[in-house]
Amino acid sequence: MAIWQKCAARLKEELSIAEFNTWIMPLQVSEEGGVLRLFAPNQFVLEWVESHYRERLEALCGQFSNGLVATISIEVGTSQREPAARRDEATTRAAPRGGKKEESGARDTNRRHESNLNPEFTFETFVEGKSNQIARAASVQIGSNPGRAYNPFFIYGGVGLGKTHLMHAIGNMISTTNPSARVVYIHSERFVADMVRALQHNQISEFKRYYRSLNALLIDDVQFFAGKERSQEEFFHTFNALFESKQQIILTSDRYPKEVSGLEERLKSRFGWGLTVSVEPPDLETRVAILQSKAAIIGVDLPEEVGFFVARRIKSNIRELEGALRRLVANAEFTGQEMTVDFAKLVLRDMLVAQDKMITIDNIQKVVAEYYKIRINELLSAKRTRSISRPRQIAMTLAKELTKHSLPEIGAAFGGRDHTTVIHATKKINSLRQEELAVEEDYKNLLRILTS
Amino acid sequence: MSSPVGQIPLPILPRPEARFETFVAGPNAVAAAAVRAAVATDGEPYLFLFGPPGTGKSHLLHAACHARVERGGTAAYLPLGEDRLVPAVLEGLEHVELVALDDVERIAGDPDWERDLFGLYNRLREAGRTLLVSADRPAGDLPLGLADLRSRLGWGPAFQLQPLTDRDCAALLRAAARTRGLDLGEPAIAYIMRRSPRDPRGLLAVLDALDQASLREKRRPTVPLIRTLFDDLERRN
Repeated sequence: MAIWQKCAARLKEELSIAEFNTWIMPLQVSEEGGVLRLFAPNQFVLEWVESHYRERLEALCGQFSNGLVATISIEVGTSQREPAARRDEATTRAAPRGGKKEESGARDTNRRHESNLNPEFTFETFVEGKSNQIARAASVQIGSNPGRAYNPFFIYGGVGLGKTHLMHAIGNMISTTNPSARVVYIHSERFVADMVRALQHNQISEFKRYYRSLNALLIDDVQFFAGKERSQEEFFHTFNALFESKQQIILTSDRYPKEVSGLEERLKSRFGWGLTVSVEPPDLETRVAILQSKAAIIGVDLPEEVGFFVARRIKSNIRELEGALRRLVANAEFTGQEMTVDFAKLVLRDMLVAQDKMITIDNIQKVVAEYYKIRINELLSAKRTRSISRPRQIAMTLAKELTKHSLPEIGAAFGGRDHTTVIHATKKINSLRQEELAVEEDYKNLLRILTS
Repeated sequence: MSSPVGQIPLPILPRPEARFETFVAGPNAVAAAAVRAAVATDGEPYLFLFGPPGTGKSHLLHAACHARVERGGTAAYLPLGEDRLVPAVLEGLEHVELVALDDVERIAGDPDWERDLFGLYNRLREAGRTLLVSADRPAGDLPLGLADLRSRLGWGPAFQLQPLTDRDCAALLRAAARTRGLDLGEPAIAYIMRRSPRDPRGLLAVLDALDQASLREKRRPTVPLIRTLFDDLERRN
């Protein structure tokens, strides 16, 4: 290893900082029998190092080892010689999660069981509100009765609303009740990548066996399967195998199963076989409760007025809310300042500006017109045909909901209409949302587009 | 990232490195402290730094990589503005303990990059790795096509980096001269501050040029030498 360190030190002098830190730093190393083995994280880095630095590295190695090490091998992977103790420590300290095993060496050949469950995501840490109470109740049922209650269980909703949290909570509950249950959480992108790798390494039968032997399979963001036919095919068979043997399948997506584009019909229809629930953006009280709960987890005392201030200004999703909180806490810690509303205004100013900027009447009109494929001037015109008036009413309702403008201001912005027209529109839309699924879906979609 | 060989002046100068110790924090002390804490793994495993060019984002990312390696860990730095990089460079990075992604705005809007970055984000999070991301604007303002990615980038604490004041710039010049072993007096510093661009990158470029001129001409870096240097530079432009 001393030889490698000398080589690296020399290269550091010869290369720019960016070159060194991009290409040389991520290499892992082991040395055996006169061969220096370099491990690159991926094929791209491997090829780059091959073509740009191999020659120089071999020359340096030869020089520093007095000719004893003259050969370098470069491969994709991680060094097996990496001291396990340090690695474990680093992993557990960075993210305390149970049962997570570190991979090493030829990481693709040994498929060990890894649940990938994050123990922090439990039902206890999930903040319930009107927007998610049905999803939570169903999740608890599935957690206590996996494979029996509803199969598959499909959770959909916008980004950062807690789908992944619920999914992990179910997984954790299953594992706690039955520690021998084989539960796996995996993001759909990762499933695809793993499958491609298995195909490349001729390990597809092992891949299949692994996924089909699980007691619960949790796949996040299935919309990322779109257009990946081979993966869909494989997932289809996995799905069937698990379903037939009554093992639990849990899926999430950003939209209703039928609306996920680029998915085969047979998958879409299967996704709808069990129970489908949605999570909605949380209301103000829930947002405050979420902030308080996250603050309690980090061990921070969040003043109530600061909680309300942040929750009132950041509406779009929980992840952003959490981002704001972490930022407040970090800034307060480092500057030693007290967490007040003024402090929050200062620290979060760019986020607040982004939020204010996003939701204007103009923006709502633009988004609604685009959504219904009509022109903005039609939206503002006197036309009263339903294809124009319905989108107009929806846009007015959204303007009332999402901006602080007065009703006369909203009316004026829609082609100089009276405020009573706005009142009529909001009443109409709110009752239609109860009666017509299509209106409700449109409204929710628009709300999502505007607030995420 | 062109071949460095032609750019190295002879004799080879000690290359100053981007370290925490050489970071002139000025108004960015909080951000620097947060990055240091993240490197020590007792801070947040994910941080987002944003601000205009020349505010020290890359410096902090490099320093973080260096510090993690010093602690016996592994790290990788990826300048996403570098055109020759392709999304495949993100594969397998979850096996690296600290990943620093610079200039993420440069890949915003590219569906392949966004998808693979999203995948990497999830893998790093699953593996509990440290991720540092920099951009020229807040995560919410990036022109990303993938809402999932925007929301994830906005998850951790974000720190806005501010341009250095003139006084900070002078301090930076002083510190950078010291690491280069260049004996720069206060009149010389004042002179450079009056005539060169007042951002760290411009100042360091002047300093490097001065360092070389001083070596070449075997003269001390005093105001007369600096004046000649600036005159030379102006003539060439």
